[in-house]
Amino acid sequence: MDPYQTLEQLRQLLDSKQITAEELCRYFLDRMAQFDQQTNSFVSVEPEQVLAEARSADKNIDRGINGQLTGIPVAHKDNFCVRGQRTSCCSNLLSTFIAPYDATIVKNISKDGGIYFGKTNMDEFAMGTSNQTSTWGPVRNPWDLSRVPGGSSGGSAAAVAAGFVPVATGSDTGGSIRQPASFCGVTGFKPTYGRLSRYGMIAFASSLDQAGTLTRTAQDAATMFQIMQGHDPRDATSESSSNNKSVSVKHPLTIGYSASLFNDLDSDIVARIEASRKTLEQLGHKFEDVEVFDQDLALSSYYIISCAEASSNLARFDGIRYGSRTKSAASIQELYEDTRSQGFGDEVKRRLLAGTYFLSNNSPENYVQKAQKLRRMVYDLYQELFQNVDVVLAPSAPSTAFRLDEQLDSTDMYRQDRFTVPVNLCGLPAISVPCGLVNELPIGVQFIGPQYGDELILDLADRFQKETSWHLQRPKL
Amino acid sequence: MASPAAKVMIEVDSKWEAVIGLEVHVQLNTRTKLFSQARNGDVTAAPNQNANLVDLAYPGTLPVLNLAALTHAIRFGAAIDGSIARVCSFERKHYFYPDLPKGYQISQYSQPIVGAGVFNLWFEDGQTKTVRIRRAHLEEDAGKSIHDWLPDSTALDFNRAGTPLLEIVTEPDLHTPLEAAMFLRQLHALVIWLDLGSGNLYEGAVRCDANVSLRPKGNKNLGTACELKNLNSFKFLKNALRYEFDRQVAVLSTGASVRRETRSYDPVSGSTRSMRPKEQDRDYRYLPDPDLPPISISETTISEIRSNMPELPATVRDRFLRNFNLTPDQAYRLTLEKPLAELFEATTELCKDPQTTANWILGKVTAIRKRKQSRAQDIPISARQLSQLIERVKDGTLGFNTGKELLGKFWDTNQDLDQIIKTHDITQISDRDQISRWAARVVEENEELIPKLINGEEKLYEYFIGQVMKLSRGKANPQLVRQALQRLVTMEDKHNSSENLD
Repeated sequence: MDPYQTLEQLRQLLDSKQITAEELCRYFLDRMAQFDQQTNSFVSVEPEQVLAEARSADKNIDRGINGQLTGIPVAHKDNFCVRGQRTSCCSNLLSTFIAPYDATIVKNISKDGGIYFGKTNMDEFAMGTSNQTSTWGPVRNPWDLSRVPGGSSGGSAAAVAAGFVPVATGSDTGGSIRQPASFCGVTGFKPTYGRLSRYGMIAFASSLDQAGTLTRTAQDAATMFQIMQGHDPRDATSESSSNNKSVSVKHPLTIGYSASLFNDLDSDIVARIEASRKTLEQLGHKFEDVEVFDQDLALSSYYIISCAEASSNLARFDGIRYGSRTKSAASIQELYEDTRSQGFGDEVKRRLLAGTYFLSNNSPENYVQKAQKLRRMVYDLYQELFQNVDVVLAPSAPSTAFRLDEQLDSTDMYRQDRFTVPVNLCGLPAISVPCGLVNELPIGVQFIGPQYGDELILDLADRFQKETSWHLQRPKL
Repeated sequence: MASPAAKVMIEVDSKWEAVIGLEVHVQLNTRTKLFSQARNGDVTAAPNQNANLVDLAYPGTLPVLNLAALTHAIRFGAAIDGSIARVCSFERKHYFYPDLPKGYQISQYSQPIVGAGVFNLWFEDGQTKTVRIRRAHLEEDAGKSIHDWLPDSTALDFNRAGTPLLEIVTEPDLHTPLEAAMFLRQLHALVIWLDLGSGNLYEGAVRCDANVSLRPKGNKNLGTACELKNLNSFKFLKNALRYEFDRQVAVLSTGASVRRETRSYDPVSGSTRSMRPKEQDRDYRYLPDPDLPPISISETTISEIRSNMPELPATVRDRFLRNFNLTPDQAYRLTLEKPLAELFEATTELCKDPQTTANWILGKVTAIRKRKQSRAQDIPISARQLSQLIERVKDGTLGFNTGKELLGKFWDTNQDLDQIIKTHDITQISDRDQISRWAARVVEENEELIPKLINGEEKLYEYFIGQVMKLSRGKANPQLVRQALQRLVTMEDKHNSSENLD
């Protein structure tokens, strides 16, 4: 049994009865049990439940009732509510929280027959780029256990890279799918804002948060996207299914490319991206130089808006109705203070304090309004850009995976997101696909599409992967 | 109890003028809550029975606007001729409190759904006064903290959390406690007229805060205002404002200044006391709610809502005054509640006697209704029944008292009047011969009292009439009984006189 198979290959194995769903799930459970002590990519798995679900999937397969995912295990990032399962956002504050309902995308996946395999590790409340802020301990990169997997969807990226599951969900607020995909050598897809429901995905920054996937191939990402998408009446920001705004798929494309993005990158990384460009040119695509928005300004806008929204979204964690509550408090004020001081980790506290300040009357600078203005400018620039090009090519991350013991300060950490945040500010779709190895570590390239150009970039990524084999590289465990 | 008129005189005589603005929170009677599918407004539910995951702010849940609440708000806007926003957006207003599940309230801050409008306040003598409405916006209600339920803890009931509220804010156009109370009463009546909410004050379905400041009469500058919280009846509002007026006069008269603060009213002592510094000084960290994208409201939607508006109370009142020759007070009282106005109009249509109809509705119908504590829409009397009753009393078939009693019977059954008259054998007896026979028998049985009767003791007449009514089992026409008795007494008198002459 090869753990690195695509959804299509697994479907074929199951449908032709070469393997049962139970055997398949047992195989992945065993593999995970054997290797995940090293990577720590999972934070909760209930093997008996997985096998029970697999057995009922086998019955369905026997009866010919098949979704595309029937019998195939899918892991969920720990910020997606799964009914009856601990959903902690890898925070101490929610370390005992059992979700009483399924997130819409979790439901869509299980409706299609996908088997809930377990919860993957992440940065606490999705705040981080290294997966070091989890209350359940850091995730280690399967390519090099002394290195981080990226974040915040580090557990999902590592789990797919290590061959523990074929696909995992993730969430991307400022790059949290694409950067770990790049670090772990997998395909990370962040759809257009609103195409996947946010209902049941625990909010970090509502106007930026977007669910997506970590998969082996763009084709798998496309399959998952088809299954997960659709209008959700429980999410007012969910796109109505009738709007039919999809950008039609075409080939070849005009691809925008900005040399200024590569100024401060390592030459090995630039070389890999240049090679990707060559591959795409050989496929018939045309490149055009474009000017993109000042990355550091976009990054400031992103951090102000995301911290402000986070400080608001996380206000509900007061210990009153669910989650951990401090044992003894003399007053309600003390109950809030103790619950939140003990419940949240340092990075979350840092962002909540900043966000509270940004929103306060006492900050005369009007941070949030200015950030929104900047956001509008980035949005307008991309709108204009997509008048001339079909897709924009950019790095997914400024480096390969860094070491756990590298002491990056907060701002350096925040700058990890500089190639990914403009996409979230504009609600655009983007995909990171592996484009090479640098010093035995994977690196990805990012295709950014216009709004509703999800299918367009998935098709481009698929064509790219048909010409390259970087996505087939495997770490040695 | 001091008469209201006397108190108003004091206010008028004072050298100070009160400047009052109201903030009224109206719970809307939509089927579900403002942002969730949980059932709204069921006051009989067990604690937390109607609080779902969205109301409890479970992680990952999201609000979705209930469009019925938006329609309610637009209807109110149309009724006060207010401007309707073309885009409906919401902000988060942050503060921590145990009964506020999300740590913020979803409200409308920068762009209320209803902008400036006017409310024409009506006085019993037919005078009117324009009160400007500054804005009306949608927001969600919080849950309830119950402090006296458990020994050492506070109980939390989230059934109310997420209930849609329309917060209506007036300009400071009111100048006496009585005016403010009249305004609240008429606004309350409008809310029920438009079927926006139950209006149940006892259940907190309409809640009122008042901002009040004083200034020397003739001065145009505004003084420092205090905010009085939770004045949840017309009486509380009036009494709290009176107390506050006196309190502020006392403060200002010493040359001191009024502190800007929020005060609560204690209905038991009738006084207000300081709660905290003024709300506006708090930092709510407003944030446009990213979960609720702004919704455009089309011109078509608005004009559709406008064209489906019922005739408004003020219009109906004017029509009643014009067409039916009612007094302003009658017209006012008949148009406080839509079902009453409708009953009046439909009954008048049938019996062609607006004055008698008004008397019946504002008299006996209102009395029975108060006794039975019926809401106006639950009055079971139909226009047909009431007009039949009026006609039967007029044509003498029924005595007035029997007619009044019959109203009570209608209340519980839904029978046709003629049917009731037949089954209960209650047609009034107007047969003069029969009545004379009864009267004669009573006179005969009470012969010793006749001289006193002749001397004109009115009380004794009542007794004789009562005796005859008893013989007739209440059915004799009392008017005819009196006439018959008078005839008999005159005859006795003459008889006695002629005896003396002999």
